[in-house]
Amino acid sequence: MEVDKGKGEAEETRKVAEADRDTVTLKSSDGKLFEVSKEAAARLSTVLAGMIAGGSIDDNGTDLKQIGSEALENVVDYCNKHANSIPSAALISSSISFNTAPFKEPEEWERKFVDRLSHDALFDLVEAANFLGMERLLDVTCHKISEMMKGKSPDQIREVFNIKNDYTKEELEEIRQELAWAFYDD
Amino acid sequence: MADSPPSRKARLAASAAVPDALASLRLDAIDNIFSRLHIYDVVRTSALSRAWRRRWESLPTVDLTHSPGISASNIDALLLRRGSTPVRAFRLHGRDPSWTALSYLDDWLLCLSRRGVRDLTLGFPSSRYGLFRLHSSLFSCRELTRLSLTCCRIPPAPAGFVGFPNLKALRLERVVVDAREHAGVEFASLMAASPVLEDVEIVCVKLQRDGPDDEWVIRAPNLRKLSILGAYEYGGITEHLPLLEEATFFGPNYAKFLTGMMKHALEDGSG
Repeated sequence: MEVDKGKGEAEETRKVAEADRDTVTLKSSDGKLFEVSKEAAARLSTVLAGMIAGGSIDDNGTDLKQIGSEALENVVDYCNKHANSIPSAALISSSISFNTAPFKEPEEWERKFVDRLSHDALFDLVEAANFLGMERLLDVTCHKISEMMKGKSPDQIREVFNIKNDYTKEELEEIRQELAWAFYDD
Repeated sequence: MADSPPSRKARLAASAAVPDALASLRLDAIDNIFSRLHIYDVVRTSALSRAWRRRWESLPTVDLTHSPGISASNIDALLLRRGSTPVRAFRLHGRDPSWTALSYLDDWLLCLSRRGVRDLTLGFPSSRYGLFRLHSSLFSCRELTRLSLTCCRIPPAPAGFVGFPNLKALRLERVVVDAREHAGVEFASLMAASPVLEDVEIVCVKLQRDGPDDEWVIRAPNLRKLSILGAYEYGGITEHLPLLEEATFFGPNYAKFLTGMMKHALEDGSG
């Protein structure tokens, strides 16, 4: 904004600039600001799409009090990567959507994106995706967690997710007998 | 360590100090995660801890599409175990022809209709002995919002069937629609009796006793997407599809359907 312009004119310029901006600014619960592609945010998050359409986006940072800065950084990173990536045919063609299962498989870059996250960051991202109505990101993160569980014994899963076994030996045996059909091999 | 139960006090302290991040997720997220697993993996979460004992039984989705090797008695046990808990979504790609021969599927469909299934995906193996005929309890699934059927026969709708009031998406592939008199007319009335239908995809669907000279009309005030693919020539035409955004036709029907749509588009435009 130019300093030598009259206040009214500057305000006018600012308004025009706002309308033309192709990013929105989001503010985490701990007050950090992040810029995200407006197009990608509106496309990937039903909540952000609603805020953008309803004009409730704050240029100085839209408050997202439920999301910490680490999770929000990942959300923003994911949106911006999505904005830049070349979508696969499956994403472009809406007519194919019915053919695939309701939960689509993640793309290669999406796998890499969640693979580098720590456990805590991954779970925080699931919550953030849930809160922002980001179906695709929810699918990608849930797919990752399901891969951490696939084909594992209860002992292995307890170890992966830090779950305390509070059963007695007898109780566990009872469960295995009740549900013997699912405990085929261990 | 798991084998020697700690004292009650020690157990409480330990569970407070070590949060189980998986258990703290929202139900929708757990449902999403578990829908991707083999059903054996899902059921075995019962053995994780007390908090997980009956968790899977209350999840809204029963997805058996990632469960190769399960038997009909497994599915019986699963549905029995869930008791009267509603099943919001049920997905199954039947692989074992004996399921259909021994009417297991009729029982499951009846069970699902009683538990208010909303999202139903059923696929069957193609068999040289002909397509599996679904039980008419399909028409009792009044809560359906999404129905996807592959490789089966749909029986005639029972007398007094009033449609699927909430059905938004319908997909039929390699399906034969049976009818007492005329499947084209029945199909058209099914569409008309499902007023919120938005997305219809018909792939290689045979409408019994329908031919190019028969007359029936697709009326769907909320339809946004319509795909008709396959070699069967239908008698129907489209009419009054005011919200249609996308139509895909492949096969002998396109000229007739497009003409119907053009005619009405012009009439709408002038009126």
